[in-house]
Amino acid sequence: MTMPEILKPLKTWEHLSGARRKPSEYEIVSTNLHYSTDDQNSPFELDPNFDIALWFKKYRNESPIKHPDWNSFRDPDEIVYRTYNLIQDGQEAYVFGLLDQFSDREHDKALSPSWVALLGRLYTPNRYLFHSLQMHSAYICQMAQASTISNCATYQTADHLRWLTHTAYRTAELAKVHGAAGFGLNEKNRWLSDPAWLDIRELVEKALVAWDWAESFVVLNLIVKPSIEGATIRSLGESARRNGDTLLGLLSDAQLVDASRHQKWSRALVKKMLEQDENREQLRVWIRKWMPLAKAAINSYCQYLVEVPDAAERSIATVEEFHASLGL
Amino acid sequence: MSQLPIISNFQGDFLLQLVLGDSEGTINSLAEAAAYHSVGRRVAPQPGKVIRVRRQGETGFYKPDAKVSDTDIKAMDCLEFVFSDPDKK
Amino acid sequence: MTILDRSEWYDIARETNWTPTFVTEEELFPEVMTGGLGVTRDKWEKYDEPYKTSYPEYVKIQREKDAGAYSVKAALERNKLFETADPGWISILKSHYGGLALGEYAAMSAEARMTRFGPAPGMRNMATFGMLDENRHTQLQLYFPHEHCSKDRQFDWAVKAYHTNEWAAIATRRMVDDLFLGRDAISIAIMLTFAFETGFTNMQFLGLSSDAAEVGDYTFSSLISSIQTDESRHAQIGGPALEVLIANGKKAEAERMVYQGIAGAWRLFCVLTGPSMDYNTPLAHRKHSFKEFMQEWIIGQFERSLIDLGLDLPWYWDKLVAEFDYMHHAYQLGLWYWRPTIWWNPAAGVTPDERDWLEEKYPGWNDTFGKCWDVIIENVVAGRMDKTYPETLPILCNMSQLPICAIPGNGWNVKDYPLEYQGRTYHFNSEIDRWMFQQSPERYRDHMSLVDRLLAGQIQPPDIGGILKYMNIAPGECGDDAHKYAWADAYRVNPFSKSAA
Ligand SMILES: [Fe+2]
Ligand SMILES: [Fe+2]
Repeated sequence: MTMPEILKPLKTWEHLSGARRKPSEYEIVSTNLHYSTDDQNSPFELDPNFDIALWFKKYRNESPIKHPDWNSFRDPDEIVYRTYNLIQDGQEAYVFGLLDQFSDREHDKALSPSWVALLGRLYTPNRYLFHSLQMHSAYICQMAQASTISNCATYQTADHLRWLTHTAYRTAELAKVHGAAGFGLNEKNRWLSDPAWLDIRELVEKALVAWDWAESFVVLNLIVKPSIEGATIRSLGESARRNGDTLLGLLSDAQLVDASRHQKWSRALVKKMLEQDENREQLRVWIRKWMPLAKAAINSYCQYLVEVPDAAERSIATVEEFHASLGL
Repeated sequence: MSQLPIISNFQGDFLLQLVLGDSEGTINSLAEAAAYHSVGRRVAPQPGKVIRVRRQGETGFYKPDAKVSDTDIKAMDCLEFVFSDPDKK
Repeated sequence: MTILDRSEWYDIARETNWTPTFVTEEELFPEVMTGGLGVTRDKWEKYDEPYKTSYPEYVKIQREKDAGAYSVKAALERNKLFETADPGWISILKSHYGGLALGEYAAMSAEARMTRFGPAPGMRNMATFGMLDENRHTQLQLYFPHEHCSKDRQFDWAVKAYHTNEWAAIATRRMVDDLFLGRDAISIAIMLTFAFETGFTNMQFLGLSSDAAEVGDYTFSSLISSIQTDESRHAQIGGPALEVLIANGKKAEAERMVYQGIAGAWRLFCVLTGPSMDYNTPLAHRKHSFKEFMQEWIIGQFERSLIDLGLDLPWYWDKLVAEFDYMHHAYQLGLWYWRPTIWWNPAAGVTPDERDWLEEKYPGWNDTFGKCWDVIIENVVAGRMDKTYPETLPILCNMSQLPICAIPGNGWNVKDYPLEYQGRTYHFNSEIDRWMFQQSPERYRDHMSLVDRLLAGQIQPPDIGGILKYMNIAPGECGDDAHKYAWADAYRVNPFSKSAA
């Protein structure tokens, strides 16, 4: 046996030491952290074919979307845990400052009865929707091919809990002032049977069980999120402003800051996928498959936003432009 | 020579080890192979004693000069290697 | 100021279950990923997490905690601890980071499984914070060791270890995968958060933190205690899950999961924490033995939390408690003797004074483990170094993937616990390990230990060189004695002092 050379200390982790520049904090703490991707035949240090191993092999390892080096993916915002909390603590201070001020001004008392009714129908049931986004993002986190992808999904999961929290908070506030309107009581029924929500619910329920990790990402980040962000956040927010509900307008904008961050990493991941030209057709197939449901969801919801007559049209156009800008 | 991997549980040692024996050799040579990985490493030699071999859980030892392939020892059997007085059987 | 109290809206934020109509309930929460032993989802409406927090509170508190942890690091960066600390302590850091950092990341995936597949909204929300927590723990425990990379190649293993087939890494993956990464959401709630985190992480982190302060490593001490504050929060996901299972007639099954969790976690703590406390920590800084620590934490505290929940103690409890006396001493012998196959430099920890301490804490140590060390010491003193290195592999337990070992010397009781299953013979370290296998053989059946792989010809050439290559460990990173055998000097001066006890 020939003696191997004696390894010398390196300036950084071995897998980063080939780069010409010093690795960033982001790279040091975020890259190459999934080990269950190392052996494609046996994700875990267990039987290669017990039920959960088969799940990972089928829905992650055997995904039609392939790339030889998923670990080369980078979050364009290079968010790490530390900066995530810095950013969001600041954002929450802003939002809770708004909530505080508007409450002091007795904002909810000034809302018109018709707008209050619409909030109960089109705004507060959002918590079910936002929670589904939270659950769905957590699926992408655990199934992604690289830790740099999982991290984006982790922060996205938390952001959706944030949206859910804002919605729950506002639901409680509205219930205090408008007790008879059923806030905090009627949302589940609305979510289950109101025609404004049915198509959205169909979309998210079906999206949640699209198990292939890449399809799961496509349907959530390229279809569901851009669609509902256009309809139940942006368009609803515009409608709010036209009904004297400045608070909801500002809250919506605050959430859209998160949404635009989500779009940035989604764009980067699609770009990574398209480094392999064979992936383009599959991504298009999925978009063709899911867009009809998304359009129906947007249309059904937006028809009730009477002050924003072009809400559906604009929301759909925004989603389609997003896809076009991705080359899909 | 035909390699036979067995599990060595050597008296006084702290673990089971993989030992490659020779199925054409004797029980004694198997004991030597096992001793190589324990005695003088973590087990003090016991001059004047011999090492006898038995299957885990049994009291009777294999005959020292028996050919391994003539016994019931199979690959990866767990065998105990025990210091004994030379005259005892 | 008119901000609503959390209690006024908390319940609304966890009223998010609905019965799907476009897909079935079973599709949305498939048994394989949700688990739950047939307890239907409506029964989980009773799930009530005892620790309540919210998104705005979380990001605020965590921002402050991080500011604390990182500023301690920055302030102490020039304090040169790395140059002045005892090499045994540095070894503890290396084994800790390599063994834990990516395990924390696997815990993030497990928390994500509960966030997606957990049957109760409160569990899903708490697990969302759990995901963030474990993301934090990974990042902290990579950021802190990274600065040492340029001084010592072994620190590269903070990220590398889990990606290798090094044997301790295989054993660590086995535990992590079996207790959480490869489990359904409800099993994770019980095995990871209740058994592992309540039972063992607490102990590991509190113990390490106080040991770190004791040796003057305040950076590590504050890091570890900061992590522990997160753990003690999200560890509370499991308790209410157990309550739901018990209330719905699944006590026996729930207990079984707890017992598997404890047994799996114990093995790993035994091989990593046991030798850290009783051998690598410099004698002057040892406040308690590993056994004392286990007795306080596992018997004193964890046993009580089992009883509080109305759970019986595991059938193997006496056997496990008996292991506090010897198992980690056996692992220490294995770690030190097979030191070229690990990514840290183990301290022998057997100077005459240390042996007196071991004999005091573990009466009979000299007559058992000491017998093996006597031979090793003689070889070191005589310069027969070739006799202090291995030339074969230990037999590895098909459950823990750790060497099958027990008490040597005059207490010799080493034994194989074999099991014949579907035509293959499996080898186990104890009845507990064999019982683990029997609970769900399909999870383990076709897995091969390192020894199985060697015998199947997967490791080429089948010699020490080939094995080290397979483990991806090479000179410059593989372990050697932490103190470069300086401890043996005491025996050179007075070869008989070892029998002081
Ligand atoms: Fe953790
Ligand atoms: Fe944890």
